Amino acid sequence: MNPELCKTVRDALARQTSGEAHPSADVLASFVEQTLPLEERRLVTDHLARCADCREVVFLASSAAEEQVAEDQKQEQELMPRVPVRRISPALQAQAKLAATFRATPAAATPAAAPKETSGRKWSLRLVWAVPVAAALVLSFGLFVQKRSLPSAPQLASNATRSAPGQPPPEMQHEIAAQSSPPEALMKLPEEKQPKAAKAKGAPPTTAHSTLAYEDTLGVAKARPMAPPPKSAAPSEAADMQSNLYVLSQKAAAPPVSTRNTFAESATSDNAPAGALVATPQTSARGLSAAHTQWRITIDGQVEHFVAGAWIPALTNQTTIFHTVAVVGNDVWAGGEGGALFHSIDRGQHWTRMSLANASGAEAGMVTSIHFDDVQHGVVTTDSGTHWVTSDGGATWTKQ
Amino acid sequence: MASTPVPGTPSAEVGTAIREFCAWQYPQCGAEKFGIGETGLAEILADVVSRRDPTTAGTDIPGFLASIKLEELVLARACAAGNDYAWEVFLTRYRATFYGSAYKIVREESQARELADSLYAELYGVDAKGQQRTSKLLYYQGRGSLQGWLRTVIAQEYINRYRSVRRETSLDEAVDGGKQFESRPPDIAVLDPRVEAAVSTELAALDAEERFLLASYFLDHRTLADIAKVIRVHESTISRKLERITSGLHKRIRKQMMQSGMSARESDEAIQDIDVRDLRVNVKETLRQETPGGAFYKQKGERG
Repeated sequence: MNPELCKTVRDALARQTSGEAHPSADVLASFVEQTLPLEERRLVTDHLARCADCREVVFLASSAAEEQVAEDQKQEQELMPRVPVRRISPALQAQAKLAATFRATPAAATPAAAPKETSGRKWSLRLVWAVPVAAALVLSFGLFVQKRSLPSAPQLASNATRSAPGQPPPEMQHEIAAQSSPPEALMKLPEEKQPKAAKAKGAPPTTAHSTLAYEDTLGVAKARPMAPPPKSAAPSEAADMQSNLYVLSQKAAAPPVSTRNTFAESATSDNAPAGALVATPQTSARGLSAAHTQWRITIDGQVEHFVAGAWIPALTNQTTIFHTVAVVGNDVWAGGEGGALFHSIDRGQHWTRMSLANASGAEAGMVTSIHFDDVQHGVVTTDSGTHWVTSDGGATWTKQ
Repeated sequence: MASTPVPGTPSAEVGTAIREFCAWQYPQCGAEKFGIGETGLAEILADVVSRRDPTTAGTDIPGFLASIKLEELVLARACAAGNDYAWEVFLTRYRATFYGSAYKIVREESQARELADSLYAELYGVDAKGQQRTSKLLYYQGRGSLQGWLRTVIAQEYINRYRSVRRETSLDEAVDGGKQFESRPPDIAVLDPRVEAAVSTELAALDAEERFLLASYFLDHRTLADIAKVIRVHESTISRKLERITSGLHKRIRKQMMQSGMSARESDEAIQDIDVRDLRVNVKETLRQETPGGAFYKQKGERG
């Protein structure tokens, strides 16, 4: 495509001049960041169409900003080369988990990937091509195994009867607890009990079962057959687990977990503290580039961001106790008590406190769930069951 | 802590909205650690509100206040007021990216450093005599991020500097470029008033974004990728839009010209690039030389 504009029109375009004053640097910066209100953005665009000076400024600032973001992403990718679980669909999530299971199991590792783990950097570089091939193989194999080994309903029923009357089997108990329990329930667990609960699973931290983040999308995780049963849970540990379950069941009245949040099992991740709520990025049109970012809510309601191999606290100057965090591309949303809702458009570098308010008043309840379909459209739910809906990236909210 | 003087007293309604917003946001915005009280924060916000253009920014004061990057605004104002801790925070957060942005814009290390250093002095508020303290950070209103504002200020300063030295071209460069005896630009072609009217009408009827795309692509010769970064859509979308705008524009201009009485052939010719026959060139004026007298060979003949 090579569109042409005749010289007559080009000249007429160039003759257009802007009579009004130039927008301030503040407004131009806001234009570049796309944070201007719609009407103001239209007026600034109109000015830019007629003002070569301001266009020059905007393009220079935009290119510098773009390179900055690209550098940040590159640095992040170098520091965090692992593949995160992305929210594409429950079926794909299950496949990804299966793939991770087999990747983490030495016996199931493909021959192509095996020398990569043992040899030096040269080998790794030469076998770069093998990684996607191995991933594809593992995925298809995982899908095959999943189809073959899905337990039928009668099997599940018989398992349930074997373990305890009226109780699901132990591995299911733990999963269901992780899926159905609210985040604050886990956060309020006694600290000393949580590592024990993790130990009760009997799986070493390197296995896929322990490293996987459990998605709280019901129905997918429940049917997973690869969750290893507790090999030798001691009676006391089992009792601890039961007491954990009891604590969790006591919190059943608490608000439901956002379906966009993910639990990291306590003491399963090397750096994750007990009961941390981890959010992986949602899939969005422009969000895949930032998919390596991980966020979580700690046990004391602090937002943390996984950067350079460590969890860095965010929003440290806030006294708010946070309950939920959601990620859509570069946009991060964190919500907590007192209707607190914070938004970052640059993966947590800068935060803006959003106002959950309309003409009838501001929200004072606890934000329990944040769900964004894309950068613009999202729903925030509070503990009172109120839904605040936005279709303009949080600029305005409608109470439902 | 002193803040910028309030240009105008806000109305009672605006004042109430600001006070409510301050009471709500003061504990969270970090103003306290920079020594800004709630009253000081209210003054800062009143200043920002009074400086906004209500015709463009709208009249929804609570919405406007909620859209402000309050933490960064507070930091900027604290720096402008000379708070040492605020400067520590500012340098920690923005120093590296500030110099990085300068380098990305200037593309030459020493010039970038010089530009960034001089801007730092302006941000710190030291004038040429080192006496009066008027920080450039006072102009930050919290509409966009502070980092974005710094980038924009660097870009503006870079353009200003470039323009101030553009005319100072060395003779060697002019000779190398073959421009030592640069001719005057050609006269503007004479346009049929009907063509001019049609073009003006149809250009004015375009959407602001469409005119921005045309100007960026055809006048500034920006690449599709550059434009796509600013508009935040994919390059192919820009490409399709340009194709659609240009073809539609040509069709509408042609139709407009035909409605004003021009024939189809005349309309087609008019929207093509200007023919040399249409140029108003004064041959005699163009060929007139500065040196009085006859041609060189005549002078030579007379001498000989």
